[in-house]
Amino acid sequence: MIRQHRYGRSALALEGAQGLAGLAVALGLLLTTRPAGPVIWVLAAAAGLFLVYFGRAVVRSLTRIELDERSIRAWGPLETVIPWDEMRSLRLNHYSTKSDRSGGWMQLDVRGARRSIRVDSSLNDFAALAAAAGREALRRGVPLDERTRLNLDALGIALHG
Amino acid sequence: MLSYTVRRLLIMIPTLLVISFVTFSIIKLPPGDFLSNQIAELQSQGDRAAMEKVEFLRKQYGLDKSFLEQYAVWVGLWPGERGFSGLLQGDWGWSFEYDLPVGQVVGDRMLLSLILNFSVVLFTWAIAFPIGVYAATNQYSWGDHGLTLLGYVGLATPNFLFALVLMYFANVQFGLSIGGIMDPEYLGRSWSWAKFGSVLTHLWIPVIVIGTSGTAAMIRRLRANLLDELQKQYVVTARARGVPPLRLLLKYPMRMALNPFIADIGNLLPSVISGSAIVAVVLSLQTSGPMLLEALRSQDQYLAGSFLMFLSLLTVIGMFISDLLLAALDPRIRLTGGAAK
Repeated sequence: MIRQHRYGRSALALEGAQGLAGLAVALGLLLTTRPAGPVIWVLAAAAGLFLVYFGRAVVRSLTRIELDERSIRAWGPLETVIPWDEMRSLRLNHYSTKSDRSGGWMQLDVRGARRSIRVDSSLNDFAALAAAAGREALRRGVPLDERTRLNLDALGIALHG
Repeated sequence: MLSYTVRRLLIMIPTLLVISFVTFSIIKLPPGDFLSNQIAELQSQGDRAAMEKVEFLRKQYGLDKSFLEQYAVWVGLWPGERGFSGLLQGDWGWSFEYDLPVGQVVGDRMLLSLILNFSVVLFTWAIAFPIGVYAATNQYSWGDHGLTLLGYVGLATPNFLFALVLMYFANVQFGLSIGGIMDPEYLGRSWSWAKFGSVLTHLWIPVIVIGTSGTAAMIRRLRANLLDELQKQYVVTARARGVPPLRLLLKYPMRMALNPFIADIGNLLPSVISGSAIVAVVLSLQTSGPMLLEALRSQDQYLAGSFLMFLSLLTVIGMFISDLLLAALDPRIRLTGGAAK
């Protein structure tokens, strides 16, 4: 059975808005205030980072993730297929910008022999995807590190083995 | 990590703007300014040439403009008399007290502060890490009790008091004068190997004085963190499986115990520039701390404001670095904090 996942519209809109806001501030300062040499480099680097972030939001809006018994696939501008048999590692990380690490988001990183697929928890039905990937990793003997197990546990996914 | 970096950067931008506004507001809070006091003094003396210079500076730095305009010019977001010329453009302003650009006034002192406080950080870590690890791995031994006692004494002794006691005994018992960060003949001279050597020979006293309390605090925290980790299930399991003790200690518990120190980088960066101002006053150290105090006292607004803004910038950058390191080293969810989306 093929399962499809897409990024939520509101999450993508927020990411796009964040990227554009950052880009506007960095470019605005760069173009209107004639900053000093080191400040120019800092602002240019920040503008580049915000541009990449905005571009990623656009790519994500055109991407859908599919998984079945044989592989996980990302369909879209950056097409990637990782057969489960070629999975080398699986990591589930949690990030938060709050000081008490509350809230935040998760990121699932599936690495194959040459390519990797990385998805955030703003993907629809992320927990089901993480559970399926976790089960495939366990079935194929791919080692899961301590933090991945802990984070899977926090999502209510119990893996045995 | 891209999402994390971008979201942290987006938080940094308004944070820095708010900090700059608050800093400027605090600097401007007291009535009058350095130039107003100067003008009153010069008017009483009838010095026309000096008064013209004061008027020129007042106009050049926009002290006759509104508060908001002065702020925008100071940050470099709005053009002043000389076009865009503020912090963003690398112009820290003019020190009215020293009658020099702020960059020139703080240059040498900033370097000396950096050398001193960086040495303090190295001293603290070099002493605290082995002792903290020993105290945790040999809990309740004689060594642990002895080091704990020393740690409490170090924590309880104010740095400035320790400096005074050390100065007194060095002078009375050994006839040594241990004030200053270099021999007086090198003050104001350009850097040379002889001057650097003089700094190094004077450095050990302030390093010990300032570093003692930090070392004691770090020993206590490292011991407590490491003890927490050593009692966790995964350590017991690894020990039962026969993992060698040193490898076991270094692989996970030590890394986890270091997290609070990584989180401290945010406080470490500004303290490398401005830390230990009171000790610097007591020991007559030519570092930036006493200069900041004096600038605040005399309302030398650009010197004080640029100093405070620079320290805030270092804090924000330090927090950013420590957050990135923590996110990379330990991306676990904290179940007590809340749930992920």
